[in-house]
Amino acid sequence: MSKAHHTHDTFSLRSIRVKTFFVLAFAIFAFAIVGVFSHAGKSTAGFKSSEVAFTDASPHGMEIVPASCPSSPHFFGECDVPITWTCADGTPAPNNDVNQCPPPSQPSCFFGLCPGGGSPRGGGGTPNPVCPIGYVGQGNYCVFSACPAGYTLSGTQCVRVSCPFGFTLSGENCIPPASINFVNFSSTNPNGPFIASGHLQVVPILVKSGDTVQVYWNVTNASSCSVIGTDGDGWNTKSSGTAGQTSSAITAQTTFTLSCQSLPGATPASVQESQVVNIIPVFKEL
Amino acid sequence: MDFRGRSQLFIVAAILVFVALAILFLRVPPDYMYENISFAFDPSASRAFAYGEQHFSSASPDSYDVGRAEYFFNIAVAKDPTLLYVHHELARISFLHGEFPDAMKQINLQITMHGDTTPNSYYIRGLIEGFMGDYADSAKDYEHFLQFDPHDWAAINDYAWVLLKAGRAKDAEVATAAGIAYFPNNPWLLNSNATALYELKEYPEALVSAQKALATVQNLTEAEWLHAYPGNDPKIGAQGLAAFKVAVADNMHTIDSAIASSTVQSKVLHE
Repeated sequence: MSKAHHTHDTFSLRSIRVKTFFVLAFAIFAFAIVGVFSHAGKSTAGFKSSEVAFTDASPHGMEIVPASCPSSPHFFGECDVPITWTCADGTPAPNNDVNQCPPPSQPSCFFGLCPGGGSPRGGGGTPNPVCPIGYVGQGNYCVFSACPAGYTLSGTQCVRVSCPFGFTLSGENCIPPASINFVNFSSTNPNGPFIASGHLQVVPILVKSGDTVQVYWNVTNASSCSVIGTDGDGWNTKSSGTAGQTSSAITAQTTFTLSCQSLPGATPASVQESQVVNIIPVFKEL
Repeated sequence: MDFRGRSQLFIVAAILVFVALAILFLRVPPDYMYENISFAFDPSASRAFAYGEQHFSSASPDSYDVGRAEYFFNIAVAKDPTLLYVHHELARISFLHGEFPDAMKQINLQITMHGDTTPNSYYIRGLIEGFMGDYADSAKDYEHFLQFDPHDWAAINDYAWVLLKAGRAKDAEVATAAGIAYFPNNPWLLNSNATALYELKEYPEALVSAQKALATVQNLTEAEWLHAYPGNDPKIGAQGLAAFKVAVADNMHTIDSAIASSTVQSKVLHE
């Protein structure tokens, strides 16, 4: 009786699980159908894409350019707010017309006619787009101001003639110097030679009190380097040499720090790295 | 059902679910799925209209999809044809497709149902009529719209467009000059004004307006251009702006040529 009851329960449970699975599967399938087939993709067949033709011809061949600003329900009244124009000095343009801003007193260029390929600036008093080097925006004009350091005026254009210290002039561009580099080398360590990475390395990093360590580094493209130990050791060279530098007797935990300054203009401006030497603890039987 | 039959059914159902999910995730953008499923739960006219609006704005490059906008507007109009702007929007979409008779049918329905409640529907009808070559009716609709929004530069500009097409250059010159008084740096108005003056053979004045148009159109950004065409696909912003700049430059050249030609003619007459 009990066994029969148990078998019946198991069968019912399995039946419910199967039904639940099919209900879930159907629900997911239904969602997928709704999600996919309710006009799923982009449909632009036959779409001309422009609300108005870009231009239309007048009776005698001029090009009229219609607009369509008020067409959207959300744009009602949006096209009737006049823009407030200002001159380059921030004062309001006379009659709200930048063309009536005071004429520039310096050599200047107008719109697309600026020298050196520089773009003209905006007429709304905003510094956009950019004027050629040595020119500043004023109303509709880019007005010559002064050539910056490293440039000289050639005709109406500022031409680069020199670069900041450390940079190399290549045509019109200043090429920055190379970044700091670590160069590996074969060390001649007394306990066995190895290839040092060029980064700061201390061998060994665990010593008995009173022992010395060898410090290795090899840096290029740096203006200066130094290695300072918290025990008072210090070396001002870009390379330790293949034999490395020998420290003083280490009597306490010591940190060695390599600091290098980059060549002027190079990035990053400096590099620093450290190594720590620890003392092996001495155990005494009491 | 025996065990074997059940397991076969299980496999078929699992395959169906897998295929459906694969299609779902590969084909349909997530926001579209969200809309479809949300709409399945709340298939109201206002929701359909709101989804249509989301896909019909040049200010939303990511969601702009005129086909999908049309799909939702059609659902909205079927569920509630009295919805305030639904026929207006369907007219705009038909207009975009170049289906002018359908566009006229929709905009006439809109104006019949809502009249002056949606004044920019007159503007849309003016636009459609203008493209159909019915310049007289178009001008009347623009005039009607301008009663509600007299300082709308785009409406003034398009009003001038149909006046010019109708051969009413003097009226176009007056309209654009009035607009320029409010918008002295608007390149559309300046260009239309230059065109009107050219049509009137007032070449030196036309040149001044064209020069100003050329100066100001250089400052126009793609975003500003798209703002003037809210139903346009944002992807054509650069193309439209470039076409505008070329049109203004061409007009300058046309006016320059006319001035040069008239100078030569007057020289010949004097000799």
